[in-house]
Amino acid sequence: MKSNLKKLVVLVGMAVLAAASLHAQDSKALVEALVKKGVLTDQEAEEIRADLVKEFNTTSAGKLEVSKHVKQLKIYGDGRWRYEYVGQEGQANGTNNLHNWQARYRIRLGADYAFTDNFKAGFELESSTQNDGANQTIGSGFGKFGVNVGLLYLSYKPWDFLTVTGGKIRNPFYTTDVLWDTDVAPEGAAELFSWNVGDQWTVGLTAGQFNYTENTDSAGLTGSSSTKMQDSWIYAAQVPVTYQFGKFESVTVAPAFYKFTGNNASTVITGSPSSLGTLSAENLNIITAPGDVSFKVLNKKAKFYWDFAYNVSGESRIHQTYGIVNQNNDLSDNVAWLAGFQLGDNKKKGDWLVGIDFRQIGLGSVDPNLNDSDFGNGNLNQQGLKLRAGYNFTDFLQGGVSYFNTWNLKENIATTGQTPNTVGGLNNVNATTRLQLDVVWKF
Amino acid sequence: MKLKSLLAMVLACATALGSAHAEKLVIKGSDTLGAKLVPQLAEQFKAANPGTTFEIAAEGSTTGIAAIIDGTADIGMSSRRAKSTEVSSAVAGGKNLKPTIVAYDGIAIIVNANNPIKGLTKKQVEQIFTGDVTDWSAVGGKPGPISIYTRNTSSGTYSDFKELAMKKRDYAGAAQKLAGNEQIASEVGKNANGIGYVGLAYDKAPGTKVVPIEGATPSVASVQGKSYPYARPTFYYTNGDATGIAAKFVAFTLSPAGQKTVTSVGFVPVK
Repeated sequence: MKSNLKKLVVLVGMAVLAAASLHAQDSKALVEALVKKGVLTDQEAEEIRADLVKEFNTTSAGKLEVSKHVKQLKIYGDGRWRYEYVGQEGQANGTNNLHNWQARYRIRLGADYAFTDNFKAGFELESSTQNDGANQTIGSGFGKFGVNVGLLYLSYKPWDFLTVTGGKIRNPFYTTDVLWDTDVAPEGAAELFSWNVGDQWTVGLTAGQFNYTENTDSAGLTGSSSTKMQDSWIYAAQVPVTYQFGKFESVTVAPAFYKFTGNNASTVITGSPSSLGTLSAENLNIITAPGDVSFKVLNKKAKFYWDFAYNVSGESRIHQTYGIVNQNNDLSDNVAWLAGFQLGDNKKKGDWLVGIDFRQIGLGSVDPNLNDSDFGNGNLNQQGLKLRAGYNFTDFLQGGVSYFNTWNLKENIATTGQTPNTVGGLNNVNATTRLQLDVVWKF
Repeated sequence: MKLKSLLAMVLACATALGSAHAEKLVIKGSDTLGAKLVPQLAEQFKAANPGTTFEIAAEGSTTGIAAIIDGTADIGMSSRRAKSTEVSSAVAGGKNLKPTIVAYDGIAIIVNANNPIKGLTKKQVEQIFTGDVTDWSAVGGKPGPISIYTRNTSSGTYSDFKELAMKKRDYAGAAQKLAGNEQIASEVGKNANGIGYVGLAYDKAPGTKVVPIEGATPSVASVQGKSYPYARPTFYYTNGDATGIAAKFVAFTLSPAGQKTVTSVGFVPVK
């Protein structure tokens, strides 16, 4: 009876601790300490351990079994409902005019695994097949949408300064949505080196090899059977350098070079603008230099940020790839740039964020399959503003507003001697407006 | 009259069969306990309890705990604690795994008797069994490739040793897995470069010697005093509190007579 009372007291104490930590198994050390102190006999300790394990196994966490090779497992996801206005003034005398209000949703569910021996892996499931988003528009007779693989990767970190990742991966480059839509997950391999130089400098080297399009090696292009189709690859290297001059103050510059390969191979991308259809990945050799200056103001995190992209092969891109013969190509056609300011962040309850940026996207500057699909509906030859604001109602529930307004960078492209819009969706708008009202909850 | 006789015979047979069934004790599990200790305890118990029969299968702790979960044994012998997943399976099947410590065991590190090594540190043991070190010269021995002998994966000693000595790391890929303590002792006794681990009951095999770990050798005093690093309790697992003949056998194992046998076989008694 005395022994049972002692066990009961110890168990109650442990239950309180366990409730606090949610890890009854962690009470092992405490049990052992009580044995050493002579408070418990070995047998009593065994019975308490068995009871604790049994108790833990009746909890939700205890019922979940994870492979012993997994050291850590993080399951994450988010859901988003969006009410959106899209307005577009078409180039061809109103042919492509449109305006529409629509409701859309997105769900993402993923898991990150940390294995033994410095390996990690992960996957993410999303509600769309688009390369640049996971949105689905409601209103198709209550139809259901499929679940698709958005990420699937394995990474290895043999040393602290090197991580090698392969698969369908998160974009490893420091970049902005001038070049890469945040939803695009490239497929291939990336190597990330990072060194701390002294207390204030961090220098990195990031390399990527991405298989952009897979083509049957023996197949010929239509009308040119002697030409072999090649796979299209993106090879990229970046040197991000950060100088930290305060707890919240830093400057980052990350020059990079992206080379797209593949001769006349067609690139079929399920993305935006959807009217692109087939498009070659040739004549894209892009030098970029994104960066930011971060600091604190009004007790909030703030940053000025920018991007600059110059396609060395921009002229060939416009004339050969897009087939625009009468365009007087100049520097602004080969350049895309962005300058913006952001104040605040959205991490926990009560946080707020506002941001604004202005950008110009030259016709031959970047790949329209990969840039932000919301700005100018993903079209090139656009310039304009992006404004956004967000507020965290709780740690997990966030509201947001985004507004995009774009107009032509150059007028009357591809109109002389050509039928308007013969270059697909590259430049088939004069102006766009987009308003997005979002509710996002994370889990 | 014939009918009465027939009925009486049938009843007598049924009673006898029922009685015989009730007195049969099925014990499964750990080779460490089941190879010597439990069979000897069973013989003594049978002498004091005529009519009791035993079915003993010593194929590793995992099989003992599994047998309690699936209800095919009265007592599960185990040289390790039940894993969380096993407790889950038991709960799902309406069983309650109850451990009873019946003896303590020190896991002795043995090498070939001709090996000049005088002792090892805990770190060196970890390095040897994980394969970080592959030659005896790296731990102060005579140059030669280290041959590692371990228990197989169903053994409680296999997993206990990983936890006690290897920081839960995996065994070296070249480690040879053997079915029991006697096989390990035998192989180490034949191989000049061999190293393995055995329960205390098996540490005096011919051709082998025990290696002190940081100066401590496994003994009754060092295990009871918890000064020897590779020591562990051994268990009987039952479905809740043991009942009937199983309860009697558990009580006998913990009795002075049973614990005397524990000592004579080479284990460390509970008290």
